[in-house]
Amino acid sequence: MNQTLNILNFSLLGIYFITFYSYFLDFKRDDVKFFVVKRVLLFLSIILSLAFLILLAVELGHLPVTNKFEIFSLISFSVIFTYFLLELLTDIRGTGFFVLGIGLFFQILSVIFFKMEYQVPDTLRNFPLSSHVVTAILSYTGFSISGAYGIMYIILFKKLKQSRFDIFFRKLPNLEILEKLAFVSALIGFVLLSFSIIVGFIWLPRIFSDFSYFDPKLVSTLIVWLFYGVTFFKKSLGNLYGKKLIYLLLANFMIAVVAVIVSGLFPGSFHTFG
Amino acid sequence: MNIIGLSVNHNTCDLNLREAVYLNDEDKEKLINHLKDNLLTEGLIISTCNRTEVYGIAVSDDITPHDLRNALLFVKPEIELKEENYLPFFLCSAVKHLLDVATGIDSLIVGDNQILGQVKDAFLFSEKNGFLKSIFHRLQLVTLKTGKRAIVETMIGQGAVSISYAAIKVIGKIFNNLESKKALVIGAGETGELAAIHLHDKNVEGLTITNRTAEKGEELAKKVGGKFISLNEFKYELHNFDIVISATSASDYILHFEDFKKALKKRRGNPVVVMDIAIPRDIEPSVQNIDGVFYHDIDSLKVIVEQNLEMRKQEVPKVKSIIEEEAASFFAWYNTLEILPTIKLFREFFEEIREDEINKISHKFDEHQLEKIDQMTKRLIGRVLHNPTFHLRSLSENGVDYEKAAEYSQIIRELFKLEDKEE
Repeated sequence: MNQTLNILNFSLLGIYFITFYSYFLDFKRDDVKFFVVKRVLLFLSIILSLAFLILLAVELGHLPVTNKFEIFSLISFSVIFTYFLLELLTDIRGTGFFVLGIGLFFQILSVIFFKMEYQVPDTLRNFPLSSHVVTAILSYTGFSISGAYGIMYIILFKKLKQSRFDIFFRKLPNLEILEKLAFVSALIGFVLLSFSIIVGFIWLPRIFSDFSYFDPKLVSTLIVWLFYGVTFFKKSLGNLYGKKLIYLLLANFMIAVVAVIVSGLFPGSFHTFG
Repeated sequence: MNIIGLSVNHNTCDLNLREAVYLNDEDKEKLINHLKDNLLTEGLIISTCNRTEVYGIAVSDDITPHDLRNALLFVKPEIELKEENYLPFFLCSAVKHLLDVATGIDSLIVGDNQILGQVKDAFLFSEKNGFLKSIFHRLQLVTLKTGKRAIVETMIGQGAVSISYAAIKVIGKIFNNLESKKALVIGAGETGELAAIHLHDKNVEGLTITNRTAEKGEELAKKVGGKFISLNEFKYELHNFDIVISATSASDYILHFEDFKKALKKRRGNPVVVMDIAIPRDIEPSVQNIDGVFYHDIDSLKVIVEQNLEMRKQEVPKVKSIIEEEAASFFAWYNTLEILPTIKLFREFFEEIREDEINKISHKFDEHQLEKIDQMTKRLIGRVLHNPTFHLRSLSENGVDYEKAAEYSQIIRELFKLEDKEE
């Protein structure tokens, strides 16, 4: 079964790459034939990815959130699924190349870190803790998608200021849409992170005997939450929009990335996975 | 039964001659009556600012496009239409040219999206005047289908190809919903008017016009459902506008860096799109250095127009391949028109013999036996005639062996004396 799952994971990488490439070709060329093909491939990627995660959960007997390989698989799926929903609901089709690149990146990591034989601590089989991890993962997916739309905004903003009407001008949606997508993705991520933090604060002290409020991962997550929180608070006051908002969201995303990397460097945390 | 055509267009003559040849509805009615009486059984007349074209089914083989030219001169005796001023078309080339026109690949601006509507109206005009019969009715369906396919399956009509529309496209890349935006158009000349109309079409919420001559400005404001503001006052209101389009004939700048700097301060950083489509420019170009100002002048917008025209040109081969397909399907039908009467007469000839022979023996058999014999002879005739009629039809449908099909048809007619029967 392990061999089958490994092959499936590799196959997923293949289909992700083909999907990403078809979105790239559609972005680069104005050819109607890619228009249908890319959507079919994306749908196929989602179905296969979902089937893979279900198979994995059945085989493992718990949600696939206990080690890096499982977490990267889940992030990868959540990125492409979120993009699929966005494309379906908003009918904005020129941004897939950027967002699916993130999904492909995480799928590559999933293949690199593939691991099936390991001891899963009982604490990670606990449902509230699984929901804590899943929402945390999804929140970072939201921040990543927000970052991707933020980058697209900056690219288009610069093109418009410099009167350079190239492929980015033709293919990307307008600045207001990009701003909205970046904002909404980050907001969803923030809500999910808030939920994850609340669940964590309730359950972690009960489960882990070595729990500490000064745990690097906990502190870094709170910093990320705080930065995003301040951004949304300022936005709610009505004087934060356009390029300023996007720069702030991008800065928050960078902080989130740095926070994840730096907190992972501290040894001895109770808050680490396999 | 030949399709012939004539085209006077932007490739064959200058604007003066095109304007002189242009036919209004009254002229077209007069021409249709003349054509019906003398030259064509049915047909089509297209007349726009860039072309006047006449197509039809000639009543006899000796009628040529030059006769169509003379018919045109009958309606417009004052013009001088030399041979180099028009293109003559026969059969396949006539149909293909009509499809070129309908898809916009023969237009002055490649991919012109108004022409298909004009062609559609031309067919309706023919129909209204009893000039549209079976062949041109079929051609109408093929032409409109080809035009629609070109729009849906290719990018031939995509992208802005005028400066003022390119300006609107750029604005659309900054703001999502123009309905909630306020726009100012400076100058009520031709370019300003076009820009105001485009903004009006995009349902811009607050459209304001300012112009040196108040009367002209007010007139345009009324036309686009906007309001007029005096040229002396508009600077004080600058901060209220999300979009500023300037198209005056002023020789100096009328808006400066400081004007926008102040306006942006009042707008608390809210972006403003500034389109300077005047020659010479109306707005100091340094305004582009202000962070919230998206400034574009005619040179930068020209880039979009050129890019789009180039993109449309690259789509022409795709459109041509659609035209080939649709023209082939039309001619597959059209080519059978001359063969079908032969096939019909051929079948009738055998059917008459069969019925005659059945009648001769009918008294020797009972009703049940006669019915069996009737069915058997029908099958027999059907099988005998299947191969020759199928072959004849195939030859005419593919269009390549059309002459062979006509020859076979003639042989059949002569061998079985079908001409006598027809008479």
